[in-house]
Amino acid sequence: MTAPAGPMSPEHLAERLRNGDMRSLARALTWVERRADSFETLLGVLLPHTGQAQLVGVSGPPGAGKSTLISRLAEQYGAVQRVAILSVDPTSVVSGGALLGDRIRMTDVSLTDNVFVRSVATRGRAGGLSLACWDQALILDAAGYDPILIETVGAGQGETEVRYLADTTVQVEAPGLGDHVQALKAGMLEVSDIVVVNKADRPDSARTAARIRHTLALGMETGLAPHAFHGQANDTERGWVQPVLLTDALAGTGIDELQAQIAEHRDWLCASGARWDTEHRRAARLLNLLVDQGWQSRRRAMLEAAGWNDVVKTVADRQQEPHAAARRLLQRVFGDGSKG
Amino acid sequence: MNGPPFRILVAKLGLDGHDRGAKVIARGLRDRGFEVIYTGIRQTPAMVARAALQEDVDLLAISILSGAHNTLVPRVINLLREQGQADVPVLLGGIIPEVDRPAMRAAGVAEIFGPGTTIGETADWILAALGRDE
Ligand SMILES: Nc1nc2c(ncn2[C@@H]2O[C@H](COP(=O)(O)OP(=O)(O)OP(=O)(O)O)[C@@H](O)[C@H]2O)c(=O)[nH]1
Ligand SMILES: [Mg+2]
Repeated sequence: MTAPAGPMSPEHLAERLRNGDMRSLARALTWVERRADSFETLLGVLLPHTGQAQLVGVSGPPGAGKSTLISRLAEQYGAVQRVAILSVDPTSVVSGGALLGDRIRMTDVSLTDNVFVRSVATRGRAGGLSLACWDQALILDAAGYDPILIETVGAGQGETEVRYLADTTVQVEAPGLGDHVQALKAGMLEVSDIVVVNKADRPDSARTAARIRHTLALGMETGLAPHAFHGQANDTERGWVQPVLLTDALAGTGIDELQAQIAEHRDWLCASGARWDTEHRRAARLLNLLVDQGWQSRRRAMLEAAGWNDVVKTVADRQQEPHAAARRLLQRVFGDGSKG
Repeated sequence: MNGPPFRILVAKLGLDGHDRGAKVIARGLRDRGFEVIYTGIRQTPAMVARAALQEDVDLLAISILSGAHNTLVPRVINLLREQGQADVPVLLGGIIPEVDRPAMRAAGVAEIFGPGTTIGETADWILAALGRDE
């Protein structure tokens, strides 16, 4: 089942990847990333075959063990079903290149036919994901992979995008990494569905887990809306209490329990009706991202037509107060209706 | 680099555990605007080919020091062909004795770079090979 080289119609590519051809799947993932000519047609053809997979986001500070843990999970899933991994690493702002190294920790599953691993560079996007990830997850879903495990950039700075894309989010912490303070600051601990303290073989891991449990419980008591997300319904009120699990990804302990909790969260999403929120949130976010892209390119042309360069000059020369200058620019772009 | 970045797999083929050279290449190519997938040491031909397949790379750069290139490299290239990636250029770096080079080329290796090659030269060669001269 080898795809021939050369151009291929989106319908043909879709059919091949749905029939399990890895080469076609890999090419489709490149198509959407490069925005190849017929990528929209491809996504359209695949759309009716999507919506089955559970998208699981895995975030956490650098070195917490995300890749190692994901590899273990994939090993377990791979024994009975097809599982995909999307692993995101940052694009260098200086060169535009990227070093994608998560596969180093995934050698154990690299030859398992049920496991598909794809490395992705952020290509200029903040928030821990690339824009292509959204389309790539859809394609993997249509190809019959379930779950799809998405490792975000390990910056520990609030990899919030995955919260919109994923059905279920796992926050991975480890003892001795500044603990959960970092995650708390970034707000990731409160908004993740499952918290994992990895490196359970380390002596201080139990204490780290206890501190995290304490912090989460405190949030609940003070009514700080733990697990609420950007004004969405509070999941805790609906009955989901974030489990805090201990894993040792090197030895493979605690992985069963993590897998069970991921399944439990999926069941809960359906039973509680929260699934609808997830779908809605995901759709709104992606539309926002896409509309914004078009917006950005139009915006420049509109502002230039409204005299952008002259205005910059007058502000630079301190002849105009910047707030007023910005408001006048907007009025010129939108007419008198704008309040700026 | 104009256009979307190229995706390159830097593979450390064989049993030797020294990957400093491969890491320098990987980092150097990243700094020249390539997306570099690095899979770590002790990769078998099957692992390298599988990574090249799933990552849909534009080019494969193999680093090999163990002396096992005569057996391992043709295996990788055969697997690439079998999986429909005959068009992916294969670069070879590391210590490849002059006497072995004709056989490597005959097996399908596009270019061989010895230890003296700079990253800049490698990057330029890759851009030319992929049809994007700067
Ligand atoms: N002791 C111990 N080490 C672990 C465990 N899990 C992972 N490691 C080690 O931690 C280091 C980082 O693991 P990765 O899986 O690469 O971590 P990551 O979170 O994916 O890292 P980035 O992708 O760079 O952010 C590696 O040396 C792993 O071998 C564990 O459970 N216990
Ligand atoms: Mg990682």
